[in-house]
Amino acid sequence: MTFALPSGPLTALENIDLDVKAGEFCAVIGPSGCGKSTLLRLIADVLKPTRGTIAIGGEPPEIARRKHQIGFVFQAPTLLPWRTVRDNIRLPRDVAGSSHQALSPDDLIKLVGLNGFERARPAQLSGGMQQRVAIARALLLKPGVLLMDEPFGALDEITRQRMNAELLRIWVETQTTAVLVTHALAEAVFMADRVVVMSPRPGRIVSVVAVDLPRPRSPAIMKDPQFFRIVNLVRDALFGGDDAALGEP
Amino acid sequence: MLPLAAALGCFAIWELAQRAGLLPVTVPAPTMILRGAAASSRALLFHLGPTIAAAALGYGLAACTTVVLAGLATMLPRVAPGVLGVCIVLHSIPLIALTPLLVLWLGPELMTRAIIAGFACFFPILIGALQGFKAIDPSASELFHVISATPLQRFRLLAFPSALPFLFSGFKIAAPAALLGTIVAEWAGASRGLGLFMLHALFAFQIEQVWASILISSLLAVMAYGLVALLERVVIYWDARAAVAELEDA
Repeated sequence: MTFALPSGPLTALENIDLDVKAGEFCAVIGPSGCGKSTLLRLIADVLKPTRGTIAIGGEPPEIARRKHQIGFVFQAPTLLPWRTVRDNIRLPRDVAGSSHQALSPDDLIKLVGLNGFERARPAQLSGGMQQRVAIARALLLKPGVLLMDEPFGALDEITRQRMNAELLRIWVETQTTAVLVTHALAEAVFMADRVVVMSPRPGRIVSVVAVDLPRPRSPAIMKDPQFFRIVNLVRDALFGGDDAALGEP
Repeated sequence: MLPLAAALGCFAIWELAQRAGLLPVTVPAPTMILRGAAASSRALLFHLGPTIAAAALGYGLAACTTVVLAGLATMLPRVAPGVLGVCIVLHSIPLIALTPLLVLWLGPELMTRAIIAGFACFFPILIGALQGFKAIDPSASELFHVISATPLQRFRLLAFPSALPFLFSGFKIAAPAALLGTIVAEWAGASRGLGLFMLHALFAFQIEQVWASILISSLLAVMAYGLVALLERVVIYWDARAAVAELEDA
């Protein structure tokens, strides 16, 4: 994937060959600027690749997007401040039309643990709560793929772990294919079936680490020596031998 | 309460200064202005209506055409610089020079005065609208792309609500300008209006009446602003400042 900038072409991603299985939880980790957000946006049809193809369930991203098969959770909650929590969750349905299959907003509000906040406005919610609304919104039309761009990046460690456990619980209920972009090692290993490790710009896939920890996973698993072993595998892939990965791009 | 007390305080100082003989003969005391206003109250009320009507009509015309113009300029970025350029030139022409020409051309009717009022107040509305239609959160823009919204849905559900705070800034500034523009228009040619009353009183050397009309027009301008500000509080019922919340805890 090459961007044409005024200063010259910028190759964000190179030779990405990735196969995500249906129902899998895939984490993508890498240093800042390695193109992981770009990769996510290519899948979501926000960007078009300059070379190569992407297929979601055998279809190009644009078709999948138009069929509302893509749920996207951004780094910032991106809620509409003039809508209530319930109306924010309903937004994809308002756009797609009522003929589309959808979960009930009230069920989703219960699922993400925001009972009682249906009529609240985003300004009245904390950051973590707003992200939960964003997750509910992304799940409304029962998408085949849930894409998440460092959704908990700005939260503190304690809240983050809580949100990770919540997200796993939600994911198990909905059984969507999930791709999570993160820069936190523990989060990637805790959440995913596989962790894709990327190199700094131009982003390439350095390795794919399988996480064969049993499910369902609770935060207690993070004390398991198996967990540490896998985190170290990912850590080695991220930093091992490649000094460039330690510096800022 | 404090602004009101401050205003009364100023009037009190003014009154005392006049009684002490500190002010020239052309600046009467507030009490004398009130007496002059009371003496001409029927005339003032007679002339108030047309001024308010022309100002409101001009304001409404300016608001509608300018918002539509800004919307078109936003959707067709290539014509935007040209449109903005023409508007800057129009805005830079001194109204006092433009007004007699327009009255000569279009006649001294209400509509002419409304058009002049529109000219006087359109520019802040334009800037507010142009800024507003561009002020879409980039993440929200991506969101609307991912959920496959049509351009109309994008405008209705995202662009227009996002623009409202900016639109209202423009509307608020334009409201007093419309009123003052109407008065300038009435100086050039009108059969009725506060500006005409002002002119007659000036030529008849009725100082108190001149001051009364000046103060009334100021009051009207303030009320116009206040009305739009009140409307803003009703229309923008959400906390527009909290577009990006503090990401602290869950």
